[in-house]
Amino acid sequence: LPGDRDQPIKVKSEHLEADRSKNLSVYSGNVEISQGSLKISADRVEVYGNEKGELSRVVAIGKPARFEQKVSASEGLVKAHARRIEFTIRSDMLNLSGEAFVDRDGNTLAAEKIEYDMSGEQMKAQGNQKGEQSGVEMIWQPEKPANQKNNNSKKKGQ
Amino acid sequence: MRTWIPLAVALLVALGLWIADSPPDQLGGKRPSRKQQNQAADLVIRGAQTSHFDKNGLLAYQFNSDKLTYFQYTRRDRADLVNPEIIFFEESEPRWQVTARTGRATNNGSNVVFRGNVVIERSGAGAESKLSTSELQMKPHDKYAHTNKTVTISNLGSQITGKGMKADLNKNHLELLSEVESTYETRQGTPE
Repeated sequence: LPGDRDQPIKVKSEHLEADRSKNLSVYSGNVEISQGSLKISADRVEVYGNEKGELSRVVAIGKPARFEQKVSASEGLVKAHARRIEFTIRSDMLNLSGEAFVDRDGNTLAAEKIEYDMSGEQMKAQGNQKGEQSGVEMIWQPEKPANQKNNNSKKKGQ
Repeated sequence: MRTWIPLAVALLVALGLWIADSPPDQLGGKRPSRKQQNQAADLVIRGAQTSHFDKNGLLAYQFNSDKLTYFQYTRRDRADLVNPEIIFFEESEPRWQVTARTGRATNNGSNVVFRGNVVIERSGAGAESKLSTSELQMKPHDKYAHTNKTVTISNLGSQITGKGMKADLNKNHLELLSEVESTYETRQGTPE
């Protein structure tokens, strides 16, 4: 949701290693991160910040690492998973790699790498470099016919 | 064949003499008895201030205490501290400060236990952070600290808690061992 970015980022885990000289905190063991409707769960999460203590990047690693967020009040959740998820806070960019998969309201995209620009709502996918079978697979739900849409809205109106 | 017998006898005699010569409490460096522990202090210092230097002659840390009560046992020593404070220096600048309500130093100050409102503060532009717990074990010479208590760290817009900690102040490296919970406040314009 648009307001997510103004929410505090909360992290829970079993273990933490912090290296102040690198402004790096590594959480491990059932790691859960939340920021408003955004949620990330993984085995290990690296949180990168700067000297002023502001976070810039989060890298989640898992088998798989999972991500979900509600994009707008009227739409469902965007769900994603991959072996590695990198979330750049300022630009709202999600980089998924390693059996990457994104599901947005039933429209799905599976590839070796997916770049998801959440604010611009654009996705770029890339198959496996080694030319094996696993390329890019996209499934797009057909638009509901206009009359069915109207019926649905009438039903809602009564 | 039996040449080892005289040697063994000589060894036994030597051992016996050594035991006879050494008073019992010298042998095992026995832990001071309760009575010994409560005996009168050997030394009481008010407003104790000590400075400790590294091998290059630079100031490593200062160890202060409002009151230091010192007990010397046969092979051990103990100093009970009121409002102890250690200030660690880096390049002659104060960098870390550890304070508490009470403390106990042993082994010539190489092991210190801080108790009661223990706070570690890091100073230095843009690097302020504060760590608090109820008890902390420290090796000042190594600038190493650990505890099994709950620790709270507040640091430039973030708050982290956990149970159990190991901290190497030399390397600015810290581990929280379980039950970790963090909250990072976000501010607009978080740079790349």
